Amino acid sequence: MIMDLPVLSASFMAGALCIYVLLDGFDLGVGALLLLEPDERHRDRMVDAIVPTWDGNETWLIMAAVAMLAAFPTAYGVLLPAFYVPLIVMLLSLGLRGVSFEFRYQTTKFRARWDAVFAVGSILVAIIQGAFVGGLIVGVAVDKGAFVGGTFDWLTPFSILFGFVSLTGYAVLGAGWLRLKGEGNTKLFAEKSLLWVTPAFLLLSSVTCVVAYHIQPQINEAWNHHVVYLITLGTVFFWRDWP
Amino acid sequence: MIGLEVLTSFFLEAGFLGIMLFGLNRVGPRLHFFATCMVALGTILSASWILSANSWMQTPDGVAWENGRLVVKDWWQVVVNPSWLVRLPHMLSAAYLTGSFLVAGVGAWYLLKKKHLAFARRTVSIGLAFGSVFIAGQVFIGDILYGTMLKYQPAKMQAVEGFWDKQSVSPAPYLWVIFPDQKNQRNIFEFGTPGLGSIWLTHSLDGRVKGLKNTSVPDQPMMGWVFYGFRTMYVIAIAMFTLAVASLWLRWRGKLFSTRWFLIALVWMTPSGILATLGGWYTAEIGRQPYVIYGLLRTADAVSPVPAGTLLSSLIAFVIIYAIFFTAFLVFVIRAIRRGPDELLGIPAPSGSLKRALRPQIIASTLGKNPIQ
Repeated sequence: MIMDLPVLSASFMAGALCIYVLLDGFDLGVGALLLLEPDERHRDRMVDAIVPTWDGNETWLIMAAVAMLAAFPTAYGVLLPAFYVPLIVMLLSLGLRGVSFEFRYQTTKFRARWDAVFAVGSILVAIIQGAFVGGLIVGVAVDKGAFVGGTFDWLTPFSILFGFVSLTGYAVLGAGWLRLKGEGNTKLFAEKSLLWVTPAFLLLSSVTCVVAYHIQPQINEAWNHHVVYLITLGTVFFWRDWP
Repeated sequence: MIGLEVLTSFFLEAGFLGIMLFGLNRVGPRLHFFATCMVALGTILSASWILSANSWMQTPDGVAWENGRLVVKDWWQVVVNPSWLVRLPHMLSAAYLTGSFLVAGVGAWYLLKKKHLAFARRTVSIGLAFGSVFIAGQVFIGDILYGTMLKYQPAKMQAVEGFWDKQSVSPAPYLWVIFPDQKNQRNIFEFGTPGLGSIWLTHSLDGRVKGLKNTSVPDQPMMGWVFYGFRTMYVIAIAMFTLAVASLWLRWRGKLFSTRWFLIALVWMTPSGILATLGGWYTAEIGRQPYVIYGLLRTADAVSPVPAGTLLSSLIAFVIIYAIFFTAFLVFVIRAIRRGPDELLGIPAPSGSLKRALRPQIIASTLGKNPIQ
């Protein structure tokens, strides 16, 4: 039987994660882009574009984590201590984001500061989620179903590189969202950002793929040449939309 | 189990919260009311699942050890464990009480300051009406829960009452203040009302109360924390009950909004529900020690492989960041209260920001009418 319970559970988890990356990706991206917009009124428009949906988007991350806890308790038990520090930093950053979201509307004097907190929180979350995947690719020290590595094993040059891949990837999503939903200045800002965020993302992800090949031979077999196709496809779309 | 919770409640809450906060102009008042009900339903479902999970840790059922692993035998017994259906209404009424006294306290403050009088009368009246109903229910539910816990977690209830000896003196006092000395299994100092312990706890004039020495030392929870957690909750419950009775009397005499001492007491009670809830959870969680799943798994056996130093740093980080959140939250809440409902309504709705634009309607809809008129 091909579709047995573990495969179903894993597909469910993967599905939830994909939805999360796509949905929360764009509001994390908008958060990161806030740093580049000096005009407060324009920042208001940007935040308004994600206000109605952002907390619903984050629910998918809880969904994926809980699905993992329920279906793969051993993996959960290994990954939680292995990525304890990044997970805590991510949780705190998500908290900072959520709070600054609400608080920025309560104040006019300190709105710029809460915006900065929001942006930094978003950037940290984006980088850490990438670093998590990077750390997974590098590998986790496991013995008899338990984590046996050190606290900072996850922190490698490769995981940091991956962190920037996800940051730029989210920024592309965020800029795309603003271009779709925004008007006037917001749309202009989005188009300007897309011009450099997209190539940055394509470049970083290509480099990361090549490095990943060398770090994990297994990936070489699993990915085969699909990634090359994907990057080519992405580049083609990017060029097609070049203004 | 938490999986079910995420499915049923988080999505319900998140989805309809969006409609509730932003949708009044778009979906019309009826659907808006429906969305508000759905948010409430989602929150209650969320509370149900959380309480079910925690109650299972307090009074586990439906599982068995097999080859060193806990295996679920009956999911129904796990979810509907012996304390869930008592602890759930206890927590829900606690939440309603917290809200009632918070609202009544703010209203009383306006009445004392002679500001926003129409709004203040409404909030004090509604807050106390709900508060009176729920505190009456809470005393009843609390008593049932006391009995449930006495049956399933005798050690916790021994710690709650502050006695050490297997049998207390007769008649037993009701202790209010103790300095416990866990190491020597005695109280350095204790102060109580003579005879009241026998009446309240054994429903007789000379009954003896069981002390913590009935539980072997390695299975004992920390008495001080459990005792004061429970006392915080209990004393506040007494205060709430007294104020609720007083409110009924004053309402009958038509002096509910003009009795100064009563309003001052209400202002002081503003955060009481939060404190009582915290006290109750301290009692529940510390009283369960040294177990993480009562009777089945010790906390010491459930530790993760994360080094202690890392855990400590993350705890400190949480404390610092939450302290910042809490301070900012208090500043904003106090400022909103100081501004009052009229000024909040008077803020012109800036274009573009749905959230600010809709704020007046949110307040108007919770009041049931539009106060601008």
